[in-house]
Amino acid sequence: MICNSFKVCIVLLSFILVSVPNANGQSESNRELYDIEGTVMLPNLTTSWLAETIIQLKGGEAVGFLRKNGSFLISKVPSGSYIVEVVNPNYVYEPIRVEINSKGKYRARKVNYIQSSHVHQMPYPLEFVNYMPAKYFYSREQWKVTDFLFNSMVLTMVLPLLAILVLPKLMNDPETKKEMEQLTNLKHDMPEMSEMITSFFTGNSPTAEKQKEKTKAIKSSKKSNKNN
Amino acid sequence: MVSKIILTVLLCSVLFTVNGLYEDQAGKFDWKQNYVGEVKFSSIDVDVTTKRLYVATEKNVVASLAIETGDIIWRQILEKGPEGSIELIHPTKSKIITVSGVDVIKVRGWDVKDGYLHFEWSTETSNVLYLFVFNGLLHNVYSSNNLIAIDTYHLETGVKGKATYTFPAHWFNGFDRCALSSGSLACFDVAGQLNIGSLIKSNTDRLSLDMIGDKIVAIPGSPIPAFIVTNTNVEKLVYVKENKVQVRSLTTRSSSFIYTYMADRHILLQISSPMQDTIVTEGSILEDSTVIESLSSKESKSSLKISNPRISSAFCGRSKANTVNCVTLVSTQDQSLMLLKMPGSIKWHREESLTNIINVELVDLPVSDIEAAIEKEFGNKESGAFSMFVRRLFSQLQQLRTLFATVLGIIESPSETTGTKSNLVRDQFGLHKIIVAVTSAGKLFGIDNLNGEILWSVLLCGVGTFYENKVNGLPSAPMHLQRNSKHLSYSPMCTLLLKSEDSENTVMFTFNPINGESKNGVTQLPYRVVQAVPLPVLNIESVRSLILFDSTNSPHLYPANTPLSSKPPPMYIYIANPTNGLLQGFTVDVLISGKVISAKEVWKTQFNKPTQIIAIGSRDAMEHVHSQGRVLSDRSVLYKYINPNMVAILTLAPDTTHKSVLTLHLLDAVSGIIIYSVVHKRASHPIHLIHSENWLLCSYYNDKTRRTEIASYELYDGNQLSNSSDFSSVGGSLIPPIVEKQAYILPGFLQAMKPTITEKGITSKHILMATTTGHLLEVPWAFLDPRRPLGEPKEEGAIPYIPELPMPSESMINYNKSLMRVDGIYTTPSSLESTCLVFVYGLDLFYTRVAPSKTFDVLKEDFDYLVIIIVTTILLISAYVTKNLASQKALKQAWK
Repeated sequence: MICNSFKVCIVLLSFILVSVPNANGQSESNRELYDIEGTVMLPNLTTSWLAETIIQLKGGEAVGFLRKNGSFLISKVPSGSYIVEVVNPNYVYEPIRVEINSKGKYRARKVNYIQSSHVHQMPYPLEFVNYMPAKYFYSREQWKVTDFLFNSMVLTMVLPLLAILVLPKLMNDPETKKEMEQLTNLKHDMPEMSEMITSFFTGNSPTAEKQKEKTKAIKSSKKSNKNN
Repeated sequence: MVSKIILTVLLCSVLFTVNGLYEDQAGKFDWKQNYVGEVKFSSIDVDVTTKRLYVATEKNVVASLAIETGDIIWRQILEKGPEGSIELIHPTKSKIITVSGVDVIKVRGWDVKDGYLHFEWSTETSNVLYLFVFNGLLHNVYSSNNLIAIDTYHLETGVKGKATYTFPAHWFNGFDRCALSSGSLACFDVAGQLNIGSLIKSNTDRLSLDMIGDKIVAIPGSPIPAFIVTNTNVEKLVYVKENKVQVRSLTTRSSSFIYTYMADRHILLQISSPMQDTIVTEGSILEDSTVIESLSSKESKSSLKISNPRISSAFCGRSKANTVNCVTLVSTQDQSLMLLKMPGSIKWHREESLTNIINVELVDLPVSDIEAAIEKEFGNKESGAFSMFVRRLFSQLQQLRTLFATVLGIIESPSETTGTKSNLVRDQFGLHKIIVAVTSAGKLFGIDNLNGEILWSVLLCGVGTFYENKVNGLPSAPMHLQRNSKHLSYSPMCTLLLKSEDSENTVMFTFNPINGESKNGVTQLPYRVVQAVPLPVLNIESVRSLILFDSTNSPHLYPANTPLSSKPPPMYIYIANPTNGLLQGFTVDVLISGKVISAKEVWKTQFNKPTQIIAIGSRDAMEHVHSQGRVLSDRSVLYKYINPNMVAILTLAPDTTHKSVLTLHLLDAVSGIIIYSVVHKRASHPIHLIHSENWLLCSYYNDKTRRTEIASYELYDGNQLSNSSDFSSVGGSLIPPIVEKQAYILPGFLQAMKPTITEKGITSKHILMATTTGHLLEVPWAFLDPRRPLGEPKEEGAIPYIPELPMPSESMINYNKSLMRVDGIYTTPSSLESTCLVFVYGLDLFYTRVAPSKTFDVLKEDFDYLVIIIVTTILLISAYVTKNLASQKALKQAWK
């Protein structure tokens, strides 16, 4: 029994659905046509700007052009829901959705593609107020001193250098200074390892050798003077 | 949620830095040419301060051109299609008024100087026969209830004039038997009489004249009622003056134009073109046939390729030497527009047929002669060492000789001797190519891709209207590059298939795409080609032969009877007939001798009415897929389903519940198996389909949610490759692929869509989309990936799913060079893996190149050569200086 009633429902539904297009077909022959009006806020009022801006309805199905005062008219469109866009090569405008019902009532709303049921009413006649210049280009990176200084490589090299050179001078505490000096003194007292080994193997001290060298050099220079 | 958005924004910013331009790059490797289209009506503004031309064109464009140069000063684009077709233009002192539309007539007044709108009004009508303007009133002639009725409107305000007045219906009997000129309707009646009646006043008598004719046409823009009557190739000029009909016979077959010279005198200007490169003008007084010497001229120009010129508008004046001078705007059948000065010459010339490009190919240029000689030398491998040495010496001697010759200027430089422009040689990166464009006017163009200069043009004779592509209703002209420029001993070869002028059969035009020269011209084929498929192997003359499939399903090979270099594998061909919805697959065997064995039908699929095939998408034959799979987060590989035989078929069927249903079928063209099908309800035009690698994109307008949606599909084999070595449609497993799918919202409307293509397919893919707002958008495929995760991202680098696609202005690669009325986008790889060349055609031509993964294989444009030079020199100098310093120090130490 349930099954039966269900079938009837389907039949009825399909009947309605079939009859709907017929009704549409009849209304289409003497459909009403409507005009959409509005204004566009212009960044500047030059006439060439007016000429390069057009208003598109549903991706160009109908177009409107700007008059000198920034107003436009899209004439003779059938009822329905349309997206109205302002097309300008240099500026971007927010599009507006316009709905004209079969009785000729207008409603303008914010375009919301994701939640089409969400209505955010806008004034009609349309007002395209919010515009911004389109940013088509990226700005090139330019060489700056600050960029160079804050480079991580430079920072890792410069900061330790600072730590070594500047920090000790900043320390004014006399005790620590003394300690530091002691540390450096200690270093000086330590005999150099390599020198110790060489003296151990050769038998004479490195200072004596140096003096020998010096005398040799003086002799040779004297010789060269004679030659001259 | 917030974190997700932030993440996406971050990812967007990262990904979008990949494409886009820097400001200094604008115009560096892109160019745009603006056109207006084939001129329908025109008017010359003689005002000294303005000096302009106003044109209304077949492309629904009204524009102003500079008389001196032919440059566009302003241009306005009206509605697309018949709604915006311009029916007449009427110039006034400060405005240019256009009347456009079919059922809704829109009257718009444009500012002559800047082109902005002064006024607009519209009215609804039906059954319009003619529209004309008289006395500042727009006359709308229409048929209603067996009467010819005329409504008048004030042209600038739209206020309806006095009551409608009518004429008997028998005054009008068909557009081919009647013509309207200057408010007078001339018609042939059954008795063989020509009746001319004025439609301006309500009660007028008709003037009759005994005359038999086949055809009657009005002289456009004539100040007095004037008609050309053709009767078996004899042309007569019929005009009405002071309420009397005058007949003047015309001797030459030419196009005429009448200009009011003095109050009671008119000049008859005639123009003809006996040959493609010649233009002949004649001028005479209409009333007494006195020839005006200064207006008769004949001019030949080798670069000119025109047919059937027609004077669109003219202006005449008397010069100081008391001769008559005229300036005429001439439009031709091949859709070019020129300004002719009489006496004098052609001042400028515009090729407006470039607005009707139907097929494009970017062809590589040949290498320079010197390089060719080197290639030849090393190409010959089988010769011995001694002969190689001799040849090397010989070629070097030749190089030396050409060098001396060019230095001394004895002979022309080697590249100039080839007959074309000197710089037409291939560059290192394959960025310099030639754009070969076929236009619906039957004219072929060779355009330099670097600057947009037209290098050659060919006007085809004996070619009828083009075959209509039944899928999209546009004219089609299949063009195949049969031999590219890489074969040194042969010149490149391109073949175009067109419809014959006097039958349904096909004509073939084989030409050299580098210079447009053809050996045999247009050749007639004894059959109609329905499908042309290139063979996978070349023949011994390095030509990629074409299998031409005729309407009786028998194959032919072109060029015929030339042996092939190797035995081709069995060929599978499919044919789609959108009129009866029949899809057929055939197998064709081609022998190595170059003979074709007849085709065998393999499979057949029928789409019954009212289902209609609206688009067929197959992969670009040049495309390579570099990576076979995708690495998932668990380090396993998801293999791509790459079936080279797969075609996508889109069908649209009306539906009672869902208005229209769009179905996508993925079909294997070899076996005929439908791999996958998917349905979109309430989808309607505009519909675009692209098919590349293992994915498909289909854009449509969703009537329910009233937005443009892009459905994305991706096919995967799974964790194992089913066809590991080569793909086979018949062998292997018949496990259907895994289909990933997702839909995205595009906040806008699409005009055309195309994926980028690169030589090896390593570079990531971007989708180029031309929107109706005139932007060319470059969208990374990662945004359209159906595997964009809905929840937390599972794969590295995956962007979380967001229904709306971003359209940042930085990714609009044509910046403020808006592209309206785009017909198509053509992409082709360059020799650089990173770079893809893009050519967009439609009302405007736009060329650019894109690097989807940035130019990773060449140094960046902003690479700082100066810094690197400075750093290296400083290093060198400092190394030298410190070396010296070190030695000095060593010396000083030695002295201690």
